[in-house]
Amino acid sequence: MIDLNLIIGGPQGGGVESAGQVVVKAIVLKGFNVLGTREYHSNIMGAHSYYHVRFSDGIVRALRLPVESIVALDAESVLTHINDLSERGFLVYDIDTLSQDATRIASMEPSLRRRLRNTFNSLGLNPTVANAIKILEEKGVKTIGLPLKDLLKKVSAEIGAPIASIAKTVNVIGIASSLYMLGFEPEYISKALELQFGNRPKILKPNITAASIAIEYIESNYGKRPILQDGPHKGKRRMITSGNEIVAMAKIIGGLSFETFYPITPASDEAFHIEENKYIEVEGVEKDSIDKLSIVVLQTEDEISAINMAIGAALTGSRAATSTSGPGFSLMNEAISMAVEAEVPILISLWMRAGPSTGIATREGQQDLLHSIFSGHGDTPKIVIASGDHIEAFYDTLKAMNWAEEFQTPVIHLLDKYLASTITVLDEPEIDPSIVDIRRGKRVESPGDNYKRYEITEDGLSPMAPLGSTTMIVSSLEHDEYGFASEDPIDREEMMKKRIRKFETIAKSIPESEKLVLHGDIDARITIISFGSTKQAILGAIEELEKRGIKINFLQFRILSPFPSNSALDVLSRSERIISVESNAMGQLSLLVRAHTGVNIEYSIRKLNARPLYDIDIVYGVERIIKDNVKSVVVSSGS
Amino acid sequence: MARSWLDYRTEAWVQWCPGCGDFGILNSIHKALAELDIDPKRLVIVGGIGCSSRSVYYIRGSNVHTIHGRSIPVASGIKLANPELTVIVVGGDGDILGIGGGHFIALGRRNIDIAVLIFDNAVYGLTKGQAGPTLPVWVKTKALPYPNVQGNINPLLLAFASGYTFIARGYAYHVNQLKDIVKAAIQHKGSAVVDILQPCPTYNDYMTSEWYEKRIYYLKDEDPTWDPAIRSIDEYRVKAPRIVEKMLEFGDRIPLGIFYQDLTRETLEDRFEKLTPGYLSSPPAKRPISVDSKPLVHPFKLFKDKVLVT
Amino acid sequence: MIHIMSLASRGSLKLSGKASCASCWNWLPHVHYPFIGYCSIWRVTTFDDYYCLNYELVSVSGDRFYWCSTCKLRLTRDDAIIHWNGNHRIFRAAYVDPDVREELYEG
Ligand SMILES: Cc1ncc(C[n+]2csc(CCOP(=O)(O)OP(=O)(O)O)c2C)c(N)n1
Ligand SMILES: [Zn+2]
Repeated sequence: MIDLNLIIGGPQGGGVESAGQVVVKAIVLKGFNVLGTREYHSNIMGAHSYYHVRFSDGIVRALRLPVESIVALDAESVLTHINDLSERGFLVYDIDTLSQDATRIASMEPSLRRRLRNTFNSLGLNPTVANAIKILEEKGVKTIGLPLKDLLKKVSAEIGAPIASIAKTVNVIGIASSLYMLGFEPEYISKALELQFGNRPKILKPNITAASIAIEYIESNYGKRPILQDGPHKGKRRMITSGNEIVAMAKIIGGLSFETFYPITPASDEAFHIEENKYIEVEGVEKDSIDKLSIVVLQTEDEISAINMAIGAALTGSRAATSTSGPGFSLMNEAISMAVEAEVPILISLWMRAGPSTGIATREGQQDLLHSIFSGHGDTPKIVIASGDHIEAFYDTLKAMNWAEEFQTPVIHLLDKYLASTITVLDEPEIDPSIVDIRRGKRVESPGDNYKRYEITEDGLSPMAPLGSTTMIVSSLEHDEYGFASEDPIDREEMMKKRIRKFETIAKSIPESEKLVLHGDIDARITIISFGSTKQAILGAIEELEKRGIKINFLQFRILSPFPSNSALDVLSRSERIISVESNAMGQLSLLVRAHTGVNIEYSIRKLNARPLYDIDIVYGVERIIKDNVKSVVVSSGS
Repeated sequence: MARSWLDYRTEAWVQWCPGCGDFGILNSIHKALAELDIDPKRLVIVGGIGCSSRSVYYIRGSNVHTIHGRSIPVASGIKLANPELTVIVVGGDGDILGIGGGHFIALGRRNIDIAVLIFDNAVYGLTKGQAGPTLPVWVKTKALPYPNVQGNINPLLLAFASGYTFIARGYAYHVNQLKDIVKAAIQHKGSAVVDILQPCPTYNDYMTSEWYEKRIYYLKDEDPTWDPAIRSIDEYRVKAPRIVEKMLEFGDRIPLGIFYQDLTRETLEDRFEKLTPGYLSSPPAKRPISVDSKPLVHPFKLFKDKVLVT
Repeated sequence: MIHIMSLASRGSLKLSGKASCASCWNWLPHVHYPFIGYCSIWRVTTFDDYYCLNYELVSVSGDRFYWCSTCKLRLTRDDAIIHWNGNHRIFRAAYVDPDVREELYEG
């Protein structure tokens, strides 16, 4: 069983991103499954960022610390990740950084600098790279000091490329060394480089040269490495994708024709990917005049405009969506309320990040669960669905667009920073769009003259005609069946009831199996509850705990509104100990479960440091809860 | 048979104060639509929130009553998704220039083919007469406990600076002249704004009909050669200073009429068509999204660059 | 490709070891990896221990911007004097990859 983790650290802008992508590609080419994510400061050139990758021949569910390899070609990376390396692991660093001292690294967070100084001083040492290496070696870690400058001189001498290209090879020297140490054949590294830079020969060539110079160096100083056996996924067509990308793909494939956005991390990459692919070639469309279809993608002046424009587009019969993160979602509240009152089909992809307020714009958080459910003033029932991983995000996007139109309602799709920037690899059958039919509900293209936009019906759903098909009124004011504003008490009550009936229709129409999933043994005495991107880490933890003799199941809440009260109660009433796992401080899911089922969730594992939840966090938390009988564990791993 | 203005009325009872200037505006819109013979089914009136925004209930169309200040974004979404529709925004100075000011500016930048009709009474009628963004500083209407301490914006100059390609001012009680201006605004291809001066007898006892009628005059009456059309950059260079000068005039004399009509600038719809040919004939509202309920494209085909063979 | 070191060694000028790119006015150190840089005279990549006849000692005098590679900051002259007096490594400017946006993340 292969299960390895690595980190590539460096200054933001220094090539960590492309190096990370090359590593992911090499791993996939070698036949393994992979997960890779980036951790970074908000758009600051030179601030520390890192790529964290895990690969395995089995399923890769979550990232894991400590890692087996760290590439740290600047002093800050060595010092920042000093606790992240397993004693079986190895560190690749630049010998010229040995004398550097944490207290003099300008870009380092002052708090980290202070912590390092205190830790090192308590050992009677200064926080230098040399001392870090000493500490690591004492732990048993293998350290590989590269003469980075000399190696770069060789690269430069061999190809004489301009400085931009030479400097870009720094991280490639690092990852080539690391991958070679791990047993990757040089061909995989160069093939991955070709995939990464193939269309830019000026960058490709120095990188290929750099990789071979690095490998040569490792080979002659550390000997030939045993070759790692290929993974089980050779000879396949596979797709590498991030969460942002897979949601964009699903929107395009699901027929989205209108997307608005105001830039915000970690959402705007999604709109970027849609825009990149907004002009698509299609086959088999009856209208033979069309061979290319376009999507309107528009950057608006703010999030208020973004959602209101999407609402306007949706009223014409277009499939419309917008995407945002917490701060922008706050601005969208009033329009969400309008979409409920005026019954507008619209998808809002809400990529959560660490709040409150601007919080940490580029880091993880699951703090908008209650905000999304209760967004909008007045009684504003809506659909809220949270995806657990990339594949769910793909299908959920398709379903969410259907539900929005079938039920003429806003649908909020909860995603987060971790999913947004995490890269995974998928096989073709795993994202089969034909599984989810495109459904548009009770649409009428040519209604008569006496069209009632808000006709009272048993299921609460009125036939929906697009603007421009007849005279009508769509209204955010309370209205009669035609849409005319009305303050009549009977009209009001009927419309309130209609909207509630519609919500009941939604609750009945969406199968329970979509709303929540019980993973693991139904008879387990301990149950974890959670929602969103914690899914795979929890599944990974359950496997690990099972090995340690602890049996747990996991109730994953997928649809948070309408809340699956009865099915949840069924499971929860069988369990002796229920632990909620969520990356927020209030225990938002616990509150929701209690409100809907009356079940008090006594135990919790929370991550509050704005870093992704790792499987080992949960293993640790569960063991603390069981063995030490603590009620609430805050897990703090991550750099 | 051509439609009459009566065909654009609805059964809804018009809920405005007696003597409200909005009645005149409404009538001139009905008449403009009739003269243009616009099919009510293909007409979309979008309103925000305010007395004037309620016009969506009083004009026969395929209409939308949105929320306060957001009529422009909703209208923009409608027009971009289905460019064949005639889209008109109606609302007050508070709705469009106050809470919705950011959107007002953005529309100018985009030059989407939408006509914005500002019912400008310089007060917040619906909420009992607080100062609107066009009420001059130190004016104390009887609805205000103290004089207005905030200055007024100049809607025409704001529109000009933002990029609107049709800018006009009308007067609510001059129904026929206003009808002609509204007609021209609707016919104009691009973002058009008409600032319609409108006495609010209930709350604005300062800018009354007498106050206005002492001041207003038509650009064309003063200067029969007045021609707001811009057909080239050179024409713009020659005319722009005079246009701005006229826009600046707001005091003892207030000019009315069409100030500016730029015929040289492309609309956002044209820009989309340029970038993605086929947009106009197959816009979001009309393009197919599936065949037999199945997607038109497959991810492994469409996103080939993400696929690799291991 | 002409190698600068060899060019310099062919020259007649006596060059001390200290007179290398690392303190040369014509040299722009890479923003992240300051041991590699761009020589604005030869228009090539060089390393901080290279040297040549065009060496010109860095100084803070003119009213312009400077780069402190110790602090990774762009400095005005008044600021640069303070850093210079603190023995920081001052340069005319830093070299930044024109495609750096590809490696930056949004905030
Ligand atoms: C409501 C909201 N939407 C989006 C963002 C994300 N965001 C942060 S800064 C910024 C724009 C920065 O541009 P500008 O104001 O021109 O400043 P610059 O960085 O160019 O100095 C955006 C969109 C946010 N913080 N809050
Ligand atoms: Zn300095």
